[in-house]
Amino acid sequence: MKKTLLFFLAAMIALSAVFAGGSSESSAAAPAAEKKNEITVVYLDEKPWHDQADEFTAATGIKVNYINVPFPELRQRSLTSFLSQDSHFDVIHLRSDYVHEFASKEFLEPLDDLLTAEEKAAYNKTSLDNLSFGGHLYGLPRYYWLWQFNYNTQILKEAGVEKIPETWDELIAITPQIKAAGHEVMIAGLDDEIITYMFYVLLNCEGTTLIDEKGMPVCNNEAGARALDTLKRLVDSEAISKHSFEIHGSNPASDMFCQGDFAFCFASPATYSLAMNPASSRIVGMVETAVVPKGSVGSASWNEPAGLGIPYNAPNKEGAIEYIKFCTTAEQQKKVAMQICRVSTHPEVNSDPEILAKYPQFSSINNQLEYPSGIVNSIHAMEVLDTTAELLHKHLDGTLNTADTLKAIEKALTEIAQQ
Amino acid sequence: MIDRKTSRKIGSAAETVATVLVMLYLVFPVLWMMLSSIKNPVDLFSTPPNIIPHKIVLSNYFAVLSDPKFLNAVKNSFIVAAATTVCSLMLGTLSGYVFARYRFRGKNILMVGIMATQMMPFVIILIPLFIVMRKMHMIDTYQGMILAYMTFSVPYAIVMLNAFFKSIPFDLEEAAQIDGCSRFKAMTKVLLPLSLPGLTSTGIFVFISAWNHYIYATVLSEAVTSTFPIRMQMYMAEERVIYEHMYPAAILGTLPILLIVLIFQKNIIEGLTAGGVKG
Repeated sequence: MKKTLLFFLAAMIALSAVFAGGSSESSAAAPAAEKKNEITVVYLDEKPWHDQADEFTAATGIKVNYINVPFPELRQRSLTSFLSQDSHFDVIHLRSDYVHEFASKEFLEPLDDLLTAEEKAAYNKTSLDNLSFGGHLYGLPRYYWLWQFNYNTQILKEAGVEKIPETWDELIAITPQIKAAGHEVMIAGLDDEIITYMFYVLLNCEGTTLIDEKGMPVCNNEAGARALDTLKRLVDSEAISKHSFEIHGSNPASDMFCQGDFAFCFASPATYSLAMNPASSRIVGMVETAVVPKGSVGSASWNEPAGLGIPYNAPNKEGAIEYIKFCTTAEQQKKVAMQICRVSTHPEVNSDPEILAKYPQFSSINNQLEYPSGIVNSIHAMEVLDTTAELLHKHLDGTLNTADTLKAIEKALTEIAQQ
Repeated sequence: MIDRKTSRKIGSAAETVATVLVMLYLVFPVLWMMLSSIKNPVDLFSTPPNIIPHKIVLSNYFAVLSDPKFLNAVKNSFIVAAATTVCSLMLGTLSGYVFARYRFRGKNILMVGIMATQMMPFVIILIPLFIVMRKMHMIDTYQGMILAYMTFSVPYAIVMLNAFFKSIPFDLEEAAQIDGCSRFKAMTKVLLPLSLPGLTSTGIFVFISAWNHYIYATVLSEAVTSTFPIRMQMYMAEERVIYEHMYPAAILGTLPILLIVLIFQKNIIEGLTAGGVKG
């Protein structure tokens, strides 16, 4: 019996070795990555980023171990490695809200001492501020994910709309005209917490915002009331299509816009390129972009600044900062913009003639970037978005009036900030 | 007053209608996925929706099949799922036999402990597992993935096989032992052949579970051992969800499971219904 059991044990170990034999190169990579001529980068599985990593290796001799992660898992992947206090990642993707979340827990390496003043000066100050927390810089900007105001020229022509609305009131005013022509007005994916994005934009259009740097609410004022009223009027008049509340985020909004039923679409910069592709669009050649409609003070937009940062326990920080500096130059950002239509954080790239020839929608981007744009930056970002969204829905369905909604938002966000 | 024959006919018709409706509810999403996999991307969001595609497009299948990353992901899933199944069945058989045939102190508590692991969400041990695998340099290795998957598949196999073995009378093994078989030989020559339906159904469920498993793969696999569920998630790009590749990939990735279930369906049904009738 003993011999038989021993035989079984040996067989199992042998089987495991046989099945596992094919991937020993990766297990060897872990200690190898700690050498100074290798870094591990975690990002999306897209050709331009892989090409960039290869170019970096060719330029510096530092090997890049590139780990592909699905887009929805980027934050979770970094967070798991931080919480386990054991990471072999040298470079990770950051968004401005991730900076607040991770830097507040000391998961990120400050870059202040890793960059000279001259190197910092090469970047747009706003883009650096987006990736800073507590007075320290934690990431270098790679691109903007700036929502744009796209419109369907054919639908506007059919509806007899000659002037593109420049304010939210003008958009509401032309809504009956567009609906009379048998079309919907504006699509934006506002399901769940995304409605807070729209409110955030409207607050900025009125010269205020949702929360300050400490996370305390600052929207319970006249400007906040105007923003909330504008949101309600947009929804009640169906200037914001009711279908907007059935979809989550800008990606499905772009897909729906490309079917040709909506006059306007407030969504990511990829919308225009999607709309010009015959395989994915019924409105090829019928799309233009404009600056987002203004409120009393000006325009605004939703913008998710993306960058690269270094985990606090990265094995090769020197290599990591070299990689980050390499990937975020104007030249590299232009290459990426040309390949996959990413909005650069260097204004000169967005107005480059080559870029404009390929992506005409970039003509309005630098104009848009002159107005406030950003996201809710807080160490409790998700909670802030969800809580505000819940109260906004109560206002939109008539449960709470404007004053009560703003008071409720102020109370709830104060409690969150004081956690 | 309806007579008995008519009443039976009405009952039978109602049963058929109800069955068809339930089947439609269950099958429609899969049918929609199949039909969407052969549509142009622009037709995926048509209003009103087009159930039947205007034009059949197969280029997306070719695009997915010619993607080496997809094929690699399917291969990795197969290796990990197969190895997990083999190891789980081996351990499950031995452990299940012990629980079914032996009496020892702490047996019930141990069984409750094993069953309790089935009730825990996978995410509970995600970070400790990551730490252990990292320390053992097993991140992005088949061994690491298999060991991680065995944390949920072995307890399942033990519980299932314990139940199957209990349903087979010990008298048969006893008779074999009287005839000169050792305990182990009686198990392998008498018990296991009779437990084939149970082994098959347990094995298939373990395989499916390992094939579809996502959460451990997100942290334990990287460049080399990326599995099919991770590959599917890659189609959710930053700009848009690449539906026109996602649907064909989902169909193609499901085919191995479908084939296995079709081949072993008789054993699965026998295994699921074993013990249902006392004989």
